[in-house]
Amino acid sequence: MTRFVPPNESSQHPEDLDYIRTNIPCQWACPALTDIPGYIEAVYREKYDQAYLVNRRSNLFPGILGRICTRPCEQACRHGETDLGNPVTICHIKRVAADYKSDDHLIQEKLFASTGKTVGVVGAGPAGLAVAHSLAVFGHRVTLYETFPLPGGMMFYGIPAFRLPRSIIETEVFNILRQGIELKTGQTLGKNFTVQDLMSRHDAVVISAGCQKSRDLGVPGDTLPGVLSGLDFMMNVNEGKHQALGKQVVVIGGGFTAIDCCRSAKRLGAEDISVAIRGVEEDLTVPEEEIREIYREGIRFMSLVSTVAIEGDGKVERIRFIRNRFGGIRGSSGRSIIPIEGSEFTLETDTVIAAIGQTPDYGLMTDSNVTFNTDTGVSSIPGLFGAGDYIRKASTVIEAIGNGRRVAEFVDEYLVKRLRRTRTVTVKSANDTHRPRDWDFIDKHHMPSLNFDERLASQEAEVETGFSAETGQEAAKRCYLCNLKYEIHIPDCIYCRWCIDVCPRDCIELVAEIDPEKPAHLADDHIVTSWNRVAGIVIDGDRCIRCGECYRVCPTQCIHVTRVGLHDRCLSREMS
Amino acid sequence: MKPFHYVIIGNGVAANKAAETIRHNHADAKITLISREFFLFYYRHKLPLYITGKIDETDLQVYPVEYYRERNIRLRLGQIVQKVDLHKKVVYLKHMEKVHYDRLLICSGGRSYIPEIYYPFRSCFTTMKRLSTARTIREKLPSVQSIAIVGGDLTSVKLAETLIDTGREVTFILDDYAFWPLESASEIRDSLENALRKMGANVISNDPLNMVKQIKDDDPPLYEIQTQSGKTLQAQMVGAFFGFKPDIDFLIRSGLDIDRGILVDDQLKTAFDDVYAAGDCAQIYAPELKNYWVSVGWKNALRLGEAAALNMVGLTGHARKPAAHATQYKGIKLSTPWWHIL
Repeated sequence: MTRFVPPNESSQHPEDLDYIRTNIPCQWACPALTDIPGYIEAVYREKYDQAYLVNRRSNLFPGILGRICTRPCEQACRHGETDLGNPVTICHIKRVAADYKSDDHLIQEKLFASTGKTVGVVGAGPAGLAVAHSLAVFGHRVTLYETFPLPGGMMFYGIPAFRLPRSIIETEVFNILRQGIELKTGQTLGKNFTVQDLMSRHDAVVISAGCQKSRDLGVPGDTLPGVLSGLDFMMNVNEGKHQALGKQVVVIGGGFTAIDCCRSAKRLGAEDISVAIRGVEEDLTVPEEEIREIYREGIRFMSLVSTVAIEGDGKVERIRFIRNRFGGIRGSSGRSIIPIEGSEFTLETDTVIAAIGQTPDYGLMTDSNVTFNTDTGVSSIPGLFGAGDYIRKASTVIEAIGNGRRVAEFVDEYLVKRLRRTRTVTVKSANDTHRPRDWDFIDKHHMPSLNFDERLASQEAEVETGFSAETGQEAAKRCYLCNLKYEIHIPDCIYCRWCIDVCPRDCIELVAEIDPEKPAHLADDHIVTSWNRVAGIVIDGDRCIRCGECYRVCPTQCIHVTRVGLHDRCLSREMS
Repeated sequence: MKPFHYVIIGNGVAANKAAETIRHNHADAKITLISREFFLFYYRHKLPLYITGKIDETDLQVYPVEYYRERNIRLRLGQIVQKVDLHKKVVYLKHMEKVHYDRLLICSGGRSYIPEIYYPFRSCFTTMKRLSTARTIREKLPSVQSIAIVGGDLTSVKLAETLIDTGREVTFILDDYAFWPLESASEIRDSLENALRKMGANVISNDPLNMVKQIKDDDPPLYEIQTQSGKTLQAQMVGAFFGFKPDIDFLIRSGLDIDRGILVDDQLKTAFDDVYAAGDCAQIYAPELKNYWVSVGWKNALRLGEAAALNMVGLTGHARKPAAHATQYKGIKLSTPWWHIL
């Protein structure tokens, strides 16, 4: 038998965690380890409050992430594998949970008893809020120090309102702060206080000041009036400050900030907008749907170009590029981008926005020798921790949240001298879902959006209008529910092989060898066709699409279904 | 010993010219053409005549099946390439077959392009890049009386002409996307408009498409088309002709460099040894331009297919960017048989 965690039990064994990695790829790909099949099933059952809570347990901001998440889960979704169609629209379904939860739904928190310890957290961005939330849940008294007038960090000041309405940020950030977290705005590290000040005030300090320093272009003319940094431009847009851009705008860079810059420029009246990237579109981390929206708004990509100089008499008038070609093979160590000698050309422009990345401002700290573990946040100074982009370089909101939650566990362990929360694999008995095979062939649903005139009418008009509840349910039906585990109890099997006959993806095989310590991955050399060598029959969870056909056809009912999950487990009995 | 195996993905002009050239220079090699279409190589520009019933499917064929038999070129028609493993030199077909190659030429051509701005209405559009879609249109056409055409290319003008000849009402909506692949559409818009009016088409100019929706699900269906000025019209079929984009989705994450097409040097070679691309799917570096260009049209495809094949058999062929020359059709002057990357 290949089950290695008995039903209704839990485990922290690395093998069991590895089961999650290979069998529930979406959850494993999520930096916050969100229980994705769990909330998708809840959306299908119209239990939107439950779906919201399942999300919030891990990623804290379902409404925000349902709009702006970079969706690493969808890239890992089994439905997107060769021959299986398109990935489930996980992010859009998350938004359905947030959009349709009831007005009076209750947010439940499993709070620990007060510890009497205090923690200062610098920066109220996604990582800082995630750290603060977890520490408040652990019973510590948390004070957040924030430079800007409003909390939310880059979610508020970096992302435009047409992608993420401000009301959603306000509500979800408020739900974090109301855990008794004190927010002090207008407080800047290195200006209003030092790390030493905070260390003397609190039992532990977490620096999650983000990446606030824009990278310079480093080409002649990059200080001319009319050359803006992407971050400064977006902050001004989000603070409602007027910016005259002219008609022609060139945005340099291919990340989310660059994309937000060019779409915001469009709404500020720029007519001819180009995004200049060194490589090609395939290299961009921005989702395909976002790129399509760029094209829809009449913005064009200029690929394989690098900036040589910005020219003009007292202000930007032109930008000079050189064309690139690739050297070496994609994915190999010899890969490079090579400028083509003599291929320079100029483009007239009124404004250049350089969105080529941000870095942490380490000058905020007086002691520049401090080092941080980028995974745990533990620093070379006892009691001082780091979290999010400040220690990991510029990343995404979901990565910042995942890291913030993890760092909080190490802060808590430092304060109370024991581990109080850990990731645990749970196995529970389950029934066949009776999910019809037809649902595997439902087409991917596309996010509805405002028409062209409406979307450009203001900076605030949210472009993506969200799924209806019905579409959300249809989209949820597409999920295979990979958290279900189908297993054959070999002693009961009569080797009729009906399951093999009905299996649509060749995931059930006769094998010569079974390792009871390993999950059921089929190695090619274990598969046999000769009866003389058959030692058992197994379902390869990595290939299985959980259609349930084998379960239904089995004459001896030797196929069992369990529900496997990865959850946070509190190890302390001190919960209030 | 196994014969040297050339695999060509595609069955259009470049692919067939390449197969012919390889056979000419490498008599005992194994040559396999893989095409997602079920049909033998056909004249794409004759599809409008086929749609309106003026010619039959056999009239579209460029070569009979004997042509391939005589040259010992293996045709794998109706087979979809799922992915390519360029390190192992294997082409994976959708029905789970693996085809090993020694040298690979990708001539997968283009597929109909719908501008992103019109993406929400794509289910209302009928496109006509392949014979299979042309066959569907031909079946539907007897019950269709009114047709609207958005965009515009040579095929659409020819289609409009044949539809008008058969007594159907045709409305052309010209906008910035016409006339693919030319960049300065305004220069030829007047001559295009005049030619269309002379044919008897209704022309809506300088008033781009705003919205298309299906208002009746009958046979034939009925669509309502609205322009940006608020003008509305109804049609039983809406043809979209916005040109083509390279049909190379199966190569995404294969390791090949892809921009607007597969990036190749002027010898049509990719970054991988033994892998070449030619025709509409290739984005070719032109040393004289110091830029990339993408080929359009039958003549270019012929030249590129030949050049790629010569390089594949160990000779030398260069993808020469054709000199700009004027083509005239129905009074419409076209002067750019290629487009470069801006």
